[in-house]
Amino acid sequence: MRFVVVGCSYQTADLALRERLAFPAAELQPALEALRQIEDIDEVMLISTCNRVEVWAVTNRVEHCGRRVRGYLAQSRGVDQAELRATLYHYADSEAVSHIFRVAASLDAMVVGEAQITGQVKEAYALAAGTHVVGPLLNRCMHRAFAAAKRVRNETAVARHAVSVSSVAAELAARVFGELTRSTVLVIGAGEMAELAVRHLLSDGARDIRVVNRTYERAVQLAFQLGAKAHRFEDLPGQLLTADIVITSTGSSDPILSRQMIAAGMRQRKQRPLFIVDIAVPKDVEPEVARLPNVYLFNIDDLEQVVQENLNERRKEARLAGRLLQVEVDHFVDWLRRQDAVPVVKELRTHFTTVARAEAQRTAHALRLNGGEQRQLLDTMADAIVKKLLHDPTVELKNHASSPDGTFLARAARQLFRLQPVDEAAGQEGLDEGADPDDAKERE
Amino acid sequence: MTPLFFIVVALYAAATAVYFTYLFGRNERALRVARLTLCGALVAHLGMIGLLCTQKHNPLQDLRGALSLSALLLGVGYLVSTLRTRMGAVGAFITPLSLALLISARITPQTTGPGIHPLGKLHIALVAMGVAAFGLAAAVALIYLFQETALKRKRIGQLFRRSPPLTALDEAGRRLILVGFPIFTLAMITGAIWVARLPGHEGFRVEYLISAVTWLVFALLILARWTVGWRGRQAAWATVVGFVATVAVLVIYISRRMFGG
Repeated sequence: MRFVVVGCSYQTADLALRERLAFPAAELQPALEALRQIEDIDEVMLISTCNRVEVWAVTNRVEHCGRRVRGYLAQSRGVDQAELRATLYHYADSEAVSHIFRVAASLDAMVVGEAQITGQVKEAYALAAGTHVVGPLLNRCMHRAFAAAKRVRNETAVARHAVSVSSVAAELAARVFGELTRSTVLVIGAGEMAELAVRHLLSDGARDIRVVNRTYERAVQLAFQLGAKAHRFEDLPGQLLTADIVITSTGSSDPILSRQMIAAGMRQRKQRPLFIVDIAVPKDVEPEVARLPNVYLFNIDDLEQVVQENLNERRKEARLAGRLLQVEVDHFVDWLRRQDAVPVVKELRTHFTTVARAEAQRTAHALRLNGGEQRQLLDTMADAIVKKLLHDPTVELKNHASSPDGTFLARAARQLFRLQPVDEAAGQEGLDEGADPDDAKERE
Repeated sequence: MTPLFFIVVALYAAATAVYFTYLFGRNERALRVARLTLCGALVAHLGMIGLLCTQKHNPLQDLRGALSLSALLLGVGYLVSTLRTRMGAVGAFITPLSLALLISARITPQTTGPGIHPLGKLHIALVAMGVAAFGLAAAVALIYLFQETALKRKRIGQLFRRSPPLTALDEAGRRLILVGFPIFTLAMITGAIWVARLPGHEGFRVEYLISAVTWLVFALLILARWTVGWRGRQAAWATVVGFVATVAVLVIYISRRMFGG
């Protein structure tokens, strides 16, 4: 069984094509069912977000599966096959597994480390599981991928630094005041950027929000949306005395907060720190305000600069996270490789157990044992002999699985012992049980 | 020199290295390792003081003991402060300071002869506690100054990310001075009475003047904080200056013990 990934992302397709390929939520389940109907696809998942559309599948025929999935996407989304061929990528085996792990850990995301994609993959997996189109291999793969994503988030700083102007403003405010629950936030102007920044502060714990605007009605409107208090523009000097964080984004052509005004306010408030975020263009705050003691002024350029620094930090961390993730990918691929030996191991075990149990039955008959403890002991002994005899061949078959040697060994075992294929359900059961002794050890 | 002393020195040095690894590196687990190493150093240090007590070397007997006790109290005080506030980064300043105090204690000649007056012992104990409190306050102030400079210059580096929030540092500094100042005042009073009673007392010495200046710096700092709202950068610099003066007094005392005079 092999893993296949077919799809496109922001790296290969423009937004217009991604929009055409994306599946609306209501169409996801029928799409999964349709994909599962494709010949040779045993398990399947569909990821459809604004940045990527991908089909993750388990199959025996990689090339064939890739062509059929591409055909399905073209037909169902009404996109030309030739156009798709240029933008769709096609990964198989360890490359496919590595891609799945990277997407789940948000290392392949447009903004590296954003948790949103991990949540979207979890939703896609839940839907596929609910539609009964995932089996033991994708199940195992996804659990491993989510565990690896968690490790990456906990052990690296890949998701730690804010990467938007508004979240950087909230993060810097927290670097000054710590917990924001006791901080008073003053919003001057009712712009969209200011609203975004306040929403970040709210999610970081800020409770006391006040809005001041030249048009009082607009202040009331924004205050209502944010659960804040509205004040008239004339109250601004008084409000500055009690505020800890000031976010300003008015459309004024001249600065509304002068050095003189802030300096006077700082004396009255006994130099309590004041953090000012000026998102307005042109600026609302005189640059000289930044030189006042205990006043920290950040304008839009400063915030953009911090965003870039944080993005660079995340990229550096992503390299470390990539190495960490590769270990997890190798581990899973190794487990997957061993699973190729499961059918022949199952056949061997069934054959040997049948023979041994038959001989035990014959011996019991000769000894005139009709049930009872001694009869049970004979069966136990037969099973133990089978287990011991098959231990070394099982290990050899698994160690050489997915290689020419492994194919030769499997064929030889089937020919030597005239093995009959066991039904697929039994084979899958072997996967779920973790027929691999190493796997059992790992779980312990 | 006992092997235990080298173990304690090695543990403080190791804790310093791990705290710096945490401060400038990317490994989050380094902080836990650093704390454990510091705990190990403090336990070994306590063991060393206990062992010396069994050998009739009371740490409250002389300057040597007081310095060693300060190093121990500084570490303990820091660990206690981390229970309520995220002060991981401060450890990078505390551990080398503890190490420096311990080595200073070792190079200071031991006082021999009969035991000192109980007032002298009280003075030494108070000095040890005061130095620890001011040392901790100075470490917090230094982190504050780095953090504040980074914020003013908009340079958000690794040290900035690791440091506690500015207001938490300012508040910690304020409280440490409020704890250290009465202890230091008592130490000065007990010291003055004890020295005045000593036979052969010479009168004025330069360390007395520096001690008085130190006391004045901290007294003015507390007063300015209370009245005109001195805080932040100014308060941090005053704390550092006050602690440098404290160290200067200690250096003069150590020099007198080593070279006479």
